[in-house]
Amino acid sequence: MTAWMTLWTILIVAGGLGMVGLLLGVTSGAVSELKETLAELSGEEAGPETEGAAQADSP
Amino acid sequence: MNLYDTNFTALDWGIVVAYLVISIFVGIWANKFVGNIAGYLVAGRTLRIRLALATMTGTEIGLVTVMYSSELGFVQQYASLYLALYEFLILLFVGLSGFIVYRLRQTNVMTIPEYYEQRYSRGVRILGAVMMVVSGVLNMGLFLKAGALFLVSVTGFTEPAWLTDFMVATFDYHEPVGLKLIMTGLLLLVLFYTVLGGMISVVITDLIQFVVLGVGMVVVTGFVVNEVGIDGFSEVVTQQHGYFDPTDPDNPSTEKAADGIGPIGMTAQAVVLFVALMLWPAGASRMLAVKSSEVAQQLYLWSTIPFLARRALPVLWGVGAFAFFAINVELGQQLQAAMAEPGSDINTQAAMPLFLAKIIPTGLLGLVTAGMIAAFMSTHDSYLLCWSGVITQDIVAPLRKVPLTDQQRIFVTRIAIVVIGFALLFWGLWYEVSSDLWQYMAVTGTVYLAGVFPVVAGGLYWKRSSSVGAYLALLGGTSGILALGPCVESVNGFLANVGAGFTVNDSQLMMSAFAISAIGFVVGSLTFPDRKDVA
Repeated sequence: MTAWMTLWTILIVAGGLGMVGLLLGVTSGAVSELKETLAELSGEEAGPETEGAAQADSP
Repeated sequence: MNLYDTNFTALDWGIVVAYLVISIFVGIWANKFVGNIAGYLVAGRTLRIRLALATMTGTEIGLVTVMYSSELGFVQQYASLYLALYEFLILLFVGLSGFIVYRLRQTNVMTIPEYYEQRYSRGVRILGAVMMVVSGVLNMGLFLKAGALFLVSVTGFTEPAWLTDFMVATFDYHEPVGLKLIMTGLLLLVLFYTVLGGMISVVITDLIQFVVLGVGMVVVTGFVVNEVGIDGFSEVVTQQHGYFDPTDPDNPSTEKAADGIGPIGMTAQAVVLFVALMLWPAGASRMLAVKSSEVAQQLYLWSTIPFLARRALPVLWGVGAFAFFAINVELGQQLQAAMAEPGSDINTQAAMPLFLAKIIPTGLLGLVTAGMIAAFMSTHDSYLLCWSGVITQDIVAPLRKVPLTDQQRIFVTRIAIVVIGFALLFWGLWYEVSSDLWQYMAVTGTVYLAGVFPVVAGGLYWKRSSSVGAYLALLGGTSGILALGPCVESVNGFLANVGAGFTVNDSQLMMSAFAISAIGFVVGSLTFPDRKDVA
């Protein structure tokens, strides 16, 4: 197997395992974060156009 | 076995339709969370890392991504994986260094043109926005067609005789309309829930789509590996003269000379991807929607995983299709004949879905198709929202003397979504791509990317950057359009007429656009500094 084919094999295997890991690691956390986001948006009243900017980058 | 044989049945259609109905209900439900323009465009900047990562993945793994990556896998086999390597390394660099993205998020802008006004002037903002929308809409131009081609190939859809007869009798129209009708249906579906719910519905549907398409990709990869086998993948190189060394400008799997990638092609793609991964508006809108600069940087670091998957796995499917049609000689001949047929909708993009239609069992094929439609919608909705948001915030609003209210901005954005949607439909129906799909996207993207990089990077890191430099850089990006297939032919025709004695290719013209913009930016900034710098 050439160096190129070794590199491509590593990339393909890493891509496959990475996708499985992402599905397992992110999904449940993302669902709870979505609930928090929707809760925040539900409590937020319509404001001026710069409102989003003003609340961003909280420490 | 026939080329159009498929395992797709009524059960699979049922699964796909059920998925689409769920998506429509999500769009309706999400509408109640839309309060103001920040909520509509950037979900109120409330996204945390996992949700941002899921929605970024949903957006960036589009059906068009799957189609162009698998097409590259089919045409250039393993060599096309150099793009996956590039994306991995670039995202790693951005994620570790925070280059551009950290400082850009700190500016609290909602769109990149908004940054242009903050740093330069209102005129730069409007010109930058126009360039972004033109490039973006051109870039999206073939999404619908690629999506429809996937559906036609995987379902084995054939146009019913009554429809053909109706079109001939009523409109004297003799071309096939099946593909066009599917394109229209897909577009209307996406327009419906994007117009209603904005970024909030995009985020919710992206999360669902992330799960459906992620599982779909893993399942498909399993079936492809099982069908072709490890030996079959080795034989692509050892027996079928597959292409695996991208530095070689000649692709050994084709008879045509010098039709490979080579050092010039690799360099051009490195430049395009380096800028696109940081500043392509759809991805940047996610970065601007996260809670903080730190989360923005983390998002890029973690995105190395889905970006690697979005390239590597579909390329593997394309290589699998190459091996499948090489082994099944009769089918391979049918495919070549279908592609050569005048007026045929079948091209190298169709190889992968035609392959999957034969190896994935009934039921599962419906789930996989739903996953791919999920991929189609998640990219389309984000892109539509992104470009229409730019039209509202960075073209219409700055041109008005009286400020728009939030409700007016949302209304204008919704109108822009519909207008862009129909522009895409007509472009998709009319334009015949003369290169592979990825090259078309890289070229159309260059029109915007060539200008945005010096303007944003210079603005963030170089004190002497000026508005004149920004104008020149943005206008310089228009030279990127010369790299489109028909324009390259015209340029070479011109060069032959003037006896230049050489020809140019699309990669060289793409790099020229980046060079023209960068030089214009530096020269313009040094020659015409902004007044505040002089003072």
